Amino acid sequence: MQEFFTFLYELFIGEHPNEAALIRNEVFPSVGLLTLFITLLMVLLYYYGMNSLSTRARFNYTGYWIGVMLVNAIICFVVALNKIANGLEVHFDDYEPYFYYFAVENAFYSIFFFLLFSLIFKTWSKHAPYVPFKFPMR
Amino acid sequence: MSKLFLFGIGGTGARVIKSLTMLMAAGVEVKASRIVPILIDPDARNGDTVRTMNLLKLYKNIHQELGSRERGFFKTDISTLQDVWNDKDGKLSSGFNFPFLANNETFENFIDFHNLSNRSQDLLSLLFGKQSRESTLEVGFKGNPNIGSIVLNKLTESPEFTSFGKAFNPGDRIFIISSIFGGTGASGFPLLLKKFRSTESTYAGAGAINNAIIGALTVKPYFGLHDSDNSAIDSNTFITKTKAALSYYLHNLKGLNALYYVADTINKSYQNSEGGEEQKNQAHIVELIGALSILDFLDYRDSELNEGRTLYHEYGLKSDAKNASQVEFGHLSAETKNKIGQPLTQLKVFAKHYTEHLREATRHPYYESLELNRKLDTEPFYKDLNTFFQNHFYPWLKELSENERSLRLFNLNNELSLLISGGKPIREGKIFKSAVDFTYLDGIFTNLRTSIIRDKSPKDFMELMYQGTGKLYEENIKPLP
Repeated sequence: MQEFFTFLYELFIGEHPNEAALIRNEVFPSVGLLTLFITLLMVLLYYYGMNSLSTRARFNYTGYWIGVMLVNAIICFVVALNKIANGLEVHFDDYEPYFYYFAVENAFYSIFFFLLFSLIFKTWSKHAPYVPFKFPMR
Repeated sequence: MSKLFLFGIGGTGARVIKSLTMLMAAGVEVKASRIVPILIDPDARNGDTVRTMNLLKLYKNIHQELGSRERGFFKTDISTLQDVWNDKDGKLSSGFNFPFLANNETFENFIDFHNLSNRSQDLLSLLFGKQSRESTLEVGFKGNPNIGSIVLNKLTESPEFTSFGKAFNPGDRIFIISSIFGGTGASGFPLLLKKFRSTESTYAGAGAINNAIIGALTVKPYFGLHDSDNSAIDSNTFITKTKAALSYYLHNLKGLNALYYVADTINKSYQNSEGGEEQKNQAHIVELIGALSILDFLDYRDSELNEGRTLYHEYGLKSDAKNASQVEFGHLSAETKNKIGQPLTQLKVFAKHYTEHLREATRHPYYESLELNRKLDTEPFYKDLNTFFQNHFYPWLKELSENERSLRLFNLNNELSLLISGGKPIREGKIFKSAVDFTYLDGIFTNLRTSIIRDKSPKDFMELMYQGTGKLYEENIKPLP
């Protein structure tokens, strides 16, 4: 798990110059799991909350799907920023550029996870099985 | 169930049949296996008749894709004579009309006036003025039933009449629609009835027709015409002509099983046109009520109509509608509302969704399941449906609502939640109620799709629309005001 998330996060931003070990052990796994969990919840909320509970089919448009995906990305951005700052016990005034790179990267991964979960769960949604596109349904 | 041969004589006959067709499109219960409308109008270019014939053709095309069903939009078969009688000789016209006059034929030519003896010519000159004799019959009888009563005799010599006799089976019924204050209807109705009830007739099927149950609708004056020097029709004579015809009916109308009368205070005068393409009168509530008389006639059992006497019927709105210039659901009796309220509301909801929203519903599962993205623009069925709504159903509702007295059952330009004229807003939700819109209807269609859609055919589409709009009516609209 730790190796997986380390590979994922260091792929684009590299390792932290001073606290790489701490971040690899404590920050990457928790942020990664939390991002997966939050994204899963948001996907379930979109497909089975907003698009299955009510008779009204108001949200089964790509625009709404993108909206939920962006909200999820912002949440994941904030979670990542907060987690890395807390992990290294750094005050807001002393945030390093590395923290922001990491948060942005996490937001991008959340978009990827959102798309992945959408492909898995959209099939059983009442109103939105064709959002954001028809594939893999016939 | 058996067939109903429906004779619509003149412009009024055509307009009543138009209203009946709208009700049938809505899926109103019709207790006949098929309706065979026969439009009798010497004025083949009459705007009202042409509009009705186009509507009937469209209905027939749409129904053919769907087939007869227990319930649903366009569920009852409308056939031409050609459909119910195997025309081996190919003499029948393929439409719903009864063509029986040569083009531009004058009344004089028709009766061969110049070859008659001098005494006969003198007698005819007394009965028919020179202007009447020399007028062409291509726009009808211009309000002259005395001409019609002679010319329409030729009807029975046409191949259409022969085929009608051959296609008529014991148990089938006949209904004749006519106005009493014009020319074609006033003269055609007694003449047709006399022919049907004659024991001396020898045409094929005469025996069955002679014993058939026959009903009729006589429409008394309900509109006026502007005075015009260019027209031979004078609406000031409508009441006098009605009285004269009623007097004739009293003594000479024999053999009817049911007779329906309908009329209204004359509130509006139309443009005075003798006939032809210009005669396009606005739809009127009286014509819709006239159409109800046909449904009522079919509701009676044979035993109830075969008691050796004529059952007479009139129609009344609720007492508070007496002076109402605008009739809404609230002014209709419970019986009428039960019969047409739900079907017409469902059709209106369907029409609104179809014309205003369906093309935008591409992300809804039912839209994908029915493959509408490919079919809406290519399959003739969907084009016909669009033509029906845009060229017939909406104009009909608009004319009804703009006429005087106005029939305004629906708010024509408002959003879906404010559909019912004089009714409460349509809302949904158990605790926090909100106005119904197309997204709610889309949701209903999606919920129903798996239990309805089988082969993605127009039949599936129409069943989905019928059940979906029915669910909306049952859960969110009823009761009507």
